[in-house]
Amino acid sequence: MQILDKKIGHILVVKPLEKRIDASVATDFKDQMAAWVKAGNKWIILDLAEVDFIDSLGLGAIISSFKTVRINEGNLVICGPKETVMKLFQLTRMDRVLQIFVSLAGAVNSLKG
Amino acid sequence: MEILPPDSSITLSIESNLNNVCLLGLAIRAICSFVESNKNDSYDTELGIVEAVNNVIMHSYNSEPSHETRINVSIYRDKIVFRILDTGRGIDAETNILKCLPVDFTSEEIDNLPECGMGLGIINSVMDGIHYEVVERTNILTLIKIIKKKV
Repeated sequence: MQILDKKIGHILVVKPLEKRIDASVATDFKDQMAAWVKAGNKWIILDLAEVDFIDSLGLGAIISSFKTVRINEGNLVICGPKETVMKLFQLTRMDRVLQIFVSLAGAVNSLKG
Repeated sequence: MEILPPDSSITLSIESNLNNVCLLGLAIRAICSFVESNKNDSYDTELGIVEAVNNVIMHSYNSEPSHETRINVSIYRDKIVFRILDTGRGIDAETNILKCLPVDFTSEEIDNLPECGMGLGIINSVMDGIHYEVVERTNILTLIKIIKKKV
């Protein structure tokens, strides 16, 4: 799975370049996120601007990553979801659990300090 | 269920490999985009079918390769009917196919957040009808999407 990562201060921004986070890539995605957390990243932004489809397994991988980060006393927030992806978060009520921002700037501000 | 012949129909077939579901999803999205009134409805339908076929591959075929899943798509004036057919072990008798999505979690109870098992709940949320039967050792999951009229 192609994922771009960059640091903004202490924040890791992770941006999947795949159009779909689905059953075929969910395990790879989860493993990659776990590796970043193990490497010491506690404040993570998942930028979903390029993604236009997530299924329940992809969502499960995101939730698993969120749990891992929170157990390590950090946080994972989402930015830039498209309307279709946002709908999945709303359908599953994960929009009440995950902090979701329209823009990367908003997500960065939430994790600063 | 329906008593009139469909207006048009196509049957898609994929081998039991999760990597193939993406192509199926794109095909379903294209068909629905032609028929349905807005992008959100097409997405809902694609999601429902993808979830159903993922379940067939992972649970009915136990993620074993080289098994066929057929998806018959029949378009009527007011609805699209999808029949997902497989010859695997099928849905367990104890499984409630009308399952709803889990709601018993909060942002404070991280441990309770579901990481799996949301497929049937999503299907029930996005589709307008669901029916399951086994006919001559073929498992048939029928999903119905009502076509909303273009305004």
